[in-house]
Amino acid sequence: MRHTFAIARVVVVTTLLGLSGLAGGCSYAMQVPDRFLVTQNEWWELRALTPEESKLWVREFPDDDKGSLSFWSEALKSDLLKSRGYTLIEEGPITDGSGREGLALVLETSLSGRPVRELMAVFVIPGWCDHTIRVVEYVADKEAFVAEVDGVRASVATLR
Amino acid sequence: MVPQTEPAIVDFLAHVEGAGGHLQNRAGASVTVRVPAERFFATLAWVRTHGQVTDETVNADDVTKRVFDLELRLQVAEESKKRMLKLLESATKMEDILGIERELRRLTDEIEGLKGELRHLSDQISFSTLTVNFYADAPEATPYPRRTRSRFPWVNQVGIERVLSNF
Repeated sequence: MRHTFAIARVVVVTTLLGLSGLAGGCSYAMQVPDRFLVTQNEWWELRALTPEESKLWVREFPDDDKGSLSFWSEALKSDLLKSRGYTLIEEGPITDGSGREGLALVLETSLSGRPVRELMAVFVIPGWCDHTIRVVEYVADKEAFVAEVDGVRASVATLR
Repeated sequence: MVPQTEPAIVDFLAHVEGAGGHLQNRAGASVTVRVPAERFFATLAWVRTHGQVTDETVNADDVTKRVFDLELRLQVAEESKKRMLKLLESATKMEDILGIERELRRLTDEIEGLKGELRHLSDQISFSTLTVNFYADAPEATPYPRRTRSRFPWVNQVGIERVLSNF
């Protein structure tokens, strides 16, 4: 009987630890470039800024339709290029810190007459019930963008 | 004249970037870029081979004389400033000192202005401006009305304007 109680206690403690781990969540592991300051790092998002307020934002979206990376790549490009009028500057593969392959797009649009660029990296993380779409977005005025984009790409390679 | 304007513009901008140039302005299918002067004619040739050119105008503005004049004025102003600095060292009367300082401020402003003009001209010399108006051979197919929002909710939450407004 004492043995059964001991096992039950271990199960309860383990479950509680597991639940507390879920409730507390875990933040993103990502080495941001030197000139960026992380202003938020929670399990649902990471935000970082440069002194000039170039923005780096990592977010996740649930996808219970379980679309593939190729599907979402086409859907994104269709929306960004055709509906929003962005110009696609560059497109290619990108890899995160766990070796997962994603899509990287470099886009440009004009806001109040000034060119603004974005590096958007998209990863699809398969799951049992649904997939998770992880999106890394780096947005800055063109000049600032060009200066930092290589550093941001290197950061994406450390994202887990 | 190209089969479709949007893909042609994307190709053109990629070529310009590859040539070390950049987009200066875009208004619909009219695209203005700046390309390194030495790549100007190569870029023009690229345009000719990637579409039918219906009209072409090349303007050249010779800025050699303006650069020479500006450099001469800058040299004179800098020499005057040096002379004023020497005079300031030997000046003893307050009235003289104030007069020299006033002249030094004027010369400094003039030198900065001349340097700025030279920088601007130097950029004009280094880069050439190329404006290309793209026209499609046939009207682009628009089978459905142009939509403003994606049917995939997460797609609507990403993009430049979303990051800038919601970050």
